[in-house]
Amino acid sequence: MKLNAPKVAPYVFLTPFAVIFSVFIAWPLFRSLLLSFTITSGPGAQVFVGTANYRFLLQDPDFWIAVRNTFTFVLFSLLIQVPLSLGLALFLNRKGLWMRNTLRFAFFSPHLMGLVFASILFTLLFAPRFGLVNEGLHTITFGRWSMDTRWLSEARRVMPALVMVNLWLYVGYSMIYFLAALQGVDPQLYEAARVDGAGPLARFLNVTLPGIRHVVIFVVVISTIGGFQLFELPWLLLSNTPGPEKSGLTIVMYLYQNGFVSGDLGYASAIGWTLLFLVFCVSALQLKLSGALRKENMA
Amino acid sequence: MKCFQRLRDGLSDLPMGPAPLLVFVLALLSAGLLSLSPPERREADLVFWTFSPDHHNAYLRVVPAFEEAHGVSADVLLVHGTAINQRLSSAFWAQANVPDMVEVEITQSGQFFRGPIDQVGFRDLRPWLETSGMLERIPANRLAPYTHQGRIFGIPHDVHPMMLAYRADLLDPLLEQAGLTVDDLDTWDAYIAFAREYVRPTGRYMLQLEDAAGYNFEPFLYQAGGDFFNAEGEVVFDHELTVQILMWWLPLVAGEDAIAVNFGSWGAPFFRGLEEGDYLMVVAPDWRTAGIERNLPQLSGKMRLMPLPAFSPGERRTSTWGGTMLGITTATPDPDLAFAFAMHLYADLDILEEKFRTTNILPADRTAWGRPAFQAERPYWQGQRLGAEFAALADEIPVQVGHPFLQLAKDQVGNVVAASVARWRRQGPDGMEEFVRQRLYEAAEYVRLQLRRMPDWNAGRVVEIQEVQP
Amino acid sequence: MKKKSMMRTASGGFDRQAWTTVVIWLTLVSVALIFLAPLVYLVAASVKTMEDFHRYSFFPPIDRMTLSNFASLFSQMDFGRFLLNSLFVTCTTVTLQLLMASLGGYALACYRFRGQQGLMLLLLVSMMIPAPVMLAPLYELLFHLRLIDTHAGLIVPGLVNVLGVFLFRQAMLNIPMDLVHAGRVDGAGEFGIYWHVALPVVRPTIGAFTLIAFMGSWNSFLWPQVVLQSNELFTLPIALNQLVGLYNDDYGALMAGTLLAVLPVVLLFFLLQREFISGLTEGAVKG
Repeated sequence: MKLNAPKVAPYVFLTPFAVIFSVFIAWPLFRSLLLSFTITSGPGAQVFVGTANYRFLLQDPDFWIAVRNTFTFVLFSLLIQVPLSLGLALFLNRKGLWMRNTLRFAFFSPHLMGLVFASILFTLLFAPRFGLVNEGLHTITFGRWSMDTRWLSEARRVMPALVMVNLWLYVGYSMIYFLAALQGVDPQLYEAARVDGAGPLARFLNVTLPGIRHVVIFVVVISTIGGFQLFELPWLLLSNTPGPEKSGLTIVMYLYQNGFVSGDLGYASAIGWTLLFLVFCVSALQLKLSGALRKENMA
Repeated sequence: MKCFQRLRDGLSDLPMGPAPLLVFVLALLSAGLLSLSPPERREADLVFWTFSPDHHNAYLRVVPAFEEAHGVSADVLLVHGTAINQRLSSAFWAQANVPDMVEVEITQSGQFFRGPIDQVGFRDLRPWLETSGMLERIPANRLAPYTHQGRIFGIPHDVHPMMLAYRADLLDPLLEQAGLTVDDLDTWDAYIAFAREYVRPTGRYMLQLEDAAGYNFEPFLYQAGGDFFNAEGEVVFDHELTVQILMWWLPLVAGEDAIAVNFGSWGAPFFRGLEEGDYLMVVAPDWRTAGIERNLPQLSGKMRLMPLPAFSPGERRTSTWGGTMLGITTATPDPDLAFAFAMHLYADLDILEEKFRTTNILPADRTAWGRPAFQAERPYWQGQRLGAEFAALADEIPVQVGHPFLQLAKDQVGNVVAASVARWRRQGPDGMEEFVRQRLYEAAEYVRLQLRRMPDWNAGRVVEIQEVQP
Repeated sequence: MKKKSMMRTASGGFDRQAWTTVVIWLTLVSVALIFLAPLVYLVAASVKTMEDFHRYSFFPPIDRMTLSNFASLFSQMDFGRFLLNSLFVTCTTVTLQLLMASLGGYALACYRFRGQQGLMLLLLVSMMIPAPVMLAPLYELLFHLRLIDTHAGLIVPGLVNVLGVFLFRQAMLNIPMDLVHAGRVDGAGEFGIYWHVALPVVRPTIGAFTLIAFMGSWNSFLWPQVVLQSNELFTLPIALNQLVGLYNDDYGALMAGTLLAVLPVVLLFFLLQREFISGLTEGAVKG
């Protein structure tokens, strides 16, 4: 058997990937599944408890707070992020726009900062009394917005703050996708629509949207999966706490707290597997609703 | 710029683009540079983790003396506060890279006492503490948080008595106007009345208190004799005492008669408020005074300290906030050596004195308190003898019962505090007491639920993990 | 009715079009300013002295600017070392990820083999795995492999980039199979075809993926925090987060450090800008 034969080659090519994947993803994942049926504590204490962790999870109010927060975050991020970035992309896509590349870079540049460094920066920007966020709002509301507003220590402001940073980081990123997709829409279709007398809205609904549907779905699914894994942003912004009244507690943070603050890796694993299940369901639902799983769209 | 462009064009002509090559070259380059200066890796006889940069600096200075005296090597590693617990959990759990000794924060220490008592990752230090006589030298109320089921898993690093640090330059005129001195503010009733009558009309606030979390409520609960758990390990923070103390505390921070304000309890917002006199006082455990000195040098000679007012005349005039323990892990091959090192750091009077000068932290070893540094007059505090002031309160500090679920309990109470403050501001005091009682009860029930969930560690199927060969 | 609107377009059409463009442009510029403000703040903060920090929202007057924050950054901590650590870990990871992801993507795109559909599904599902689920078992595993507190402990588990495999697969679906067959006829080995035929075609994807992978590794926080114990091995995110605690109030140095930490990513972006946008979207647009 020749290693270079077309029959064998794909397996050879996939081998390094497969080996690392099995050892560093599949095996730990399997271990964590086993762990999720135990309660662990300290060095080497591990008690098999069957499905008790999962049963407790269903009635654990904190877990549901985390689920609610995570869903809120994902929902609001998507509801603002997708239209905003699509809007920016549509505007930028206009012909003869002055400084287009500069503007595009301006929107995209926050993404280059990355989550961790952005969190460090925003702990200062959200500070009461001198934070830039308050200063900006103070200026544009002509002084009605209080400089003493404490973004990160008032329960009702934490989620808006998280969504804000998230938008800052990712609007430009999804905008790039939309921009590329828009450039891929056949210009003749617009012409045809124009000839048919379609207004801008009709053109958007009938030509643009169908033309970029795949990208919209892609962005929504990727953002959803990313949103469900929200951890570093609130963890760093809220200085390693779930925030006032647990307003910044997310599912992954709850997992982390249980596993690495309380030391119950078993329960943490159960949370992880529940999260996995949730993410899977939501993404599958999104794909299903959008018809991306239909036969003709596969492969 | 042109050069950059040329480089970019040149690289772009490569068949696979410039990226892989550049990254590959950088990888090789950095690998080369790193191999030129390989990190110093040595297997020290003792490895000690601490999360506090202040402690770390102080320890580094005194390690060589210990190494020389015992002919061993000791590594003191600074592990970031947010990482240390997670890393220690991982280490204990995998029995990997467990340090010989480690410092743990007071609220978080309890989580390491979970599980079967014989499998706690720390050694019971009672025998060593007894033979060395340390047991008598440490205030008993300070051992409680680190004691679980009768075993002492940690040596307290500190006592952290709490006082009030205040702007004497701003407060004294107001006191004079009222015909009072700080000594007259010896009960909370007198304190609050003075604040409402004389301080609030000036537009300033009397006090800074965190109202979005529980940590500035806890000291008052402790001062009043309350706690989260009792000595039997039962949840007690939904008792009537907590309800009453919270109902007393809430109007301090919420509503029209509030005497406390909050722009943040850390960093610039906190210090700026004190500097500008937005509030005259801050709660000040010993450790916080060093931060004030460092960040607000311009207030030197304007600040003073006073004991907390008492709830009733003659009662306790202090409380406590924060703390650190030193634990010796079961993984250490030579606990005697580790204990000797701990004594070097925690009970060497010269070292303690030196450390107090930079940190203002009162050590747990009471024999140190008589030394000159603790009696020195401090110009920053208008010549008050800082060490003596705190030492006078040390034996009065309330007992905190340690518990594996202490962090959880404190988080729960913190949420009740934040929610109550928010409700008071929204709806006023009507129905507040019922709300507080109900929320505290629910919070306590949740902790009880978690406690009940825990298996009987000594029954069940306990998987033994073998000792790892060092 | 129809005629009237036609006429309006004919006479005032250009003007209205131009006005719309101006309004849109102004909107875009104001949004862009909001987006840029934090970055400008970051740059400004890194050249402010501690006493000016809260006095000026952005830049102080030029004569009050200082580079002392950068100096203190390098004197107070071993910043150069952290930078080097980050570069080494990230560049090694990216190089290996590139190789593995493009090989995997090539195998999935240009061959038909048993288990292909199953593998695709497995990869898709694995993209949804929240990394913290594996934190504890991974720690245990790395201990047995003696990789705790090593750079290899960061690099090796991070070699798998499923998103990368997908990106390359999507891009390589466009490779005309004729080219591949022609290569075989010419006697090129399978690896040779991958190297000489496939890779040049997906050049934009390589550029895009390099940037994505670089950013992912450069910014990774949770895992290094668990694995690394010695200061000398720290990467920038860990070291800077440590700075938040250490020099609580030295915001200038903190911001200077953050700025320097972000700089390599920005440079790489400018270098790859051309490839980045087309490459990033190739998979998504076609997918």
